[in-house]
Amino acid sequence: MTTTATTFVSSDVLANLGGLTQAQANACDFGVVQVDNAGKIIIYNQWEADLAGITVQSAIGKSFFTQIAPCTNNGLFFGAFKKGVAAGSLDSTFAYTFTYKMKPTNVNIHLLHDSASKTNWVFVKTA
Amino acid sequence: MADEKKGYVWRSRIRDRMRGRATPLFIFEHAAIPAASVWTGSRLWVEHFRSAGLQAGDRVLLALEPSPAWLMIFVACLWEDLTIVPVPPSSSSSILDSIRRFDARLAITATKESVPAVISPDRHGRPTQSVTPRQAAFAPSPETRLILSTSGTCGRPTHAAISDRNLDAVLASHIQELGLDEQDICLSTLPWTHAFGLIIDLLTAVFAGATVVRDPANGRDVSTLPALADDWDITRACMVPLQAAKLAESETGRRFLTSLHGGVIGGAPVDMPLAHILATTRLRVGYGQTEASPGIALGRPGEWCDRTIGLAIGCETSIDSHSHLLCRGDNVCDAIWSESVGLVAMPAGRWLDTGDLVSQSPDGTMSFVGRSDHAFKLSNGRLVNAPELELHLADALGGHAVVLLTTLDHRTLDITITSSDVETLRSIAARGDAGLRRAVKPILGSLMGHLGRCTVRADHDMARDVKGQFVRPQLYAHPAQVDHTGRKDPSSSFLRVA
Repeated sequence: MTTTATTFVSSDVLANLGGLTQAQANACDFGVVQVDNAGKIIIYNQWEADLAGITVQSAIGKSFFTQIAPCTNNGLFFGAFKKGVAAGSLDSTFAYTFTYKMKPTNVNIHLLHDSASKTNWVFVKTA
Repeated sequence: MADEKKGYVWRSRIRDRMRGRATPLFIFEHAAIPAASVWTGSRLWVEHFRSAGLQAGDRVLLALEPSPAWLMIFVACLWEDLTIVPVPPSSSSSILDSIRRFDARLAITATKESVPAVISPDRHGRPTQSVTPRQAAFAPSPETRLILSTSGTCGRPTHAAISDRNLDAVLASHIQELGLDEQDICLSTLPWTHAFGLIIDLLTAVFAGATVVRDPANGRDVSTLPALADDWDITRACMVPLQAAKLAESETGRRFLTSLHGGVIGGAPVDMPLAHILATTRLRVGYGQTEASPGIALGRPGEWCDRTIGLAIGCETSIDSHSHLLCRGDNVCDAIWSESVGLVAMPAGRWLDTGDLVSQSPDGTMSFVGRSDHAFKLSNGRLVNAPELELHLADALGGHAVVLLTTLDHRTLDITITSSDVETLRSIAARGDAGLRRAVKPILGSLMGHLGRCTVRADHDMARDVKGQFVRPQLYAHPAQVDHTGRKDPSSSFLRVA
């Protein structure tokens, strides 16, 4: 279940997902969230933290889909993530509406499983 | 509890269903929005309405395409007990006309022009500039949550004032009966400005927490629906018979219909050929009228017969001695909106005469016979109960014939016979004019003396209204305007197979 949206993630980031650090993620001008197969947050960058109004430290270790962004716990978002991870082929882009600081905000989402590094990513950019 | 005391009956329900929730989820062509973001958007609109000085019962015209903004505004209006008047998006001049007709204090539309008392949402669905509401001519209508217009296919449109009690009754009876839940993915093709599309289709899905996928073509191109259903794993869809009939013309369309776990076909009667196809699906018939918010009857999944309208749901029904279907209950609207006098209260607990003629089988299942206003009088005062005669004539002709009995001059009866089934058309045409006259004579009896033309026409040659129903010429032509001679001309009968 994917709607039309082109990826906004720069090629240098995509090429280095296996080695991307928290500091490098913080330098990105879009949201970068690394999660494990269950959705537990490993990297949560500053851009996403600023928009969501939470600290990076408070997000790390929590479930992205049920604790940090519970509005993603539906078939379109978490469902696509689980399906893609199970199939080992997560690569889905779609438009979504997050709430940042109590305001609905249009964003583009890219869910990606990097098979080389076996890592999962949620990328977010305001539309 | 404080909210309930003040009359804000939707607040706790909206809060529980939407705040922080991932479902209901709404998917549009270029956007998807979970309940949580509809909720936060609605809070911005609530603040906007309050700062504009709107109060419970003020009428707000909602003239947007189905969109995230539409949902935010609708929810905000429910929260504030405003009276929502959903209308199709249109030009600024039409909007101004609608504002006047419904005495709205504020209108929300996508216009870029600066129009008094009109506001547009931004691309995120949020309110933009502040606006001064217009002064209303009539008193606020705090008991009325929605003003919905009838389609006008049965005469001039009526504007039903739907109360919280009406809306609550229909949602309660239908969500349970339809078995909707958070796992459902509903395809929304019907307009959100009409009772069927708004209440039976959209709001049942919203309050069940389902996912709603909005058709970008707004139901106008059914050929795209099977692919849309595949893309989104659609489980349910509501539609009018015309849409279902068009889908049934193709293999992919029929596969789509049979793949659905549920849904309601309503808005117009379903004829026998379509009923045969729908009997292979889990779809069910729905019957109602805008004045009944609109649910009156529902069929069982996959149970279809010619012109069935199902069993009464959430209300009491009665069929009077003239076969009129009457309805009474919490679904029947308490008032009608009049452009000239505002709200006109209707008697509490009244029987609503649907104007539809129905028959009922022993198990309570009702079938549509026709519209009572399709009966007419000849100039000699004789009543011609066209809907009932048409059914008998169709039976006499066999197959899947549809018969229309009409008059242009109120002296001569014309019979038009049609069918979507080519074999039926051929066999009827093969009878010839004399054969047809012999076949209809036992049913028409002494009315045979008034019989004019017997015409056989292909289904696609017939004019239809927006609901897909055949247009009857006598509704639009007065005898005096058609025939000034007063001649009766039975010799003009002819037979034509188009």
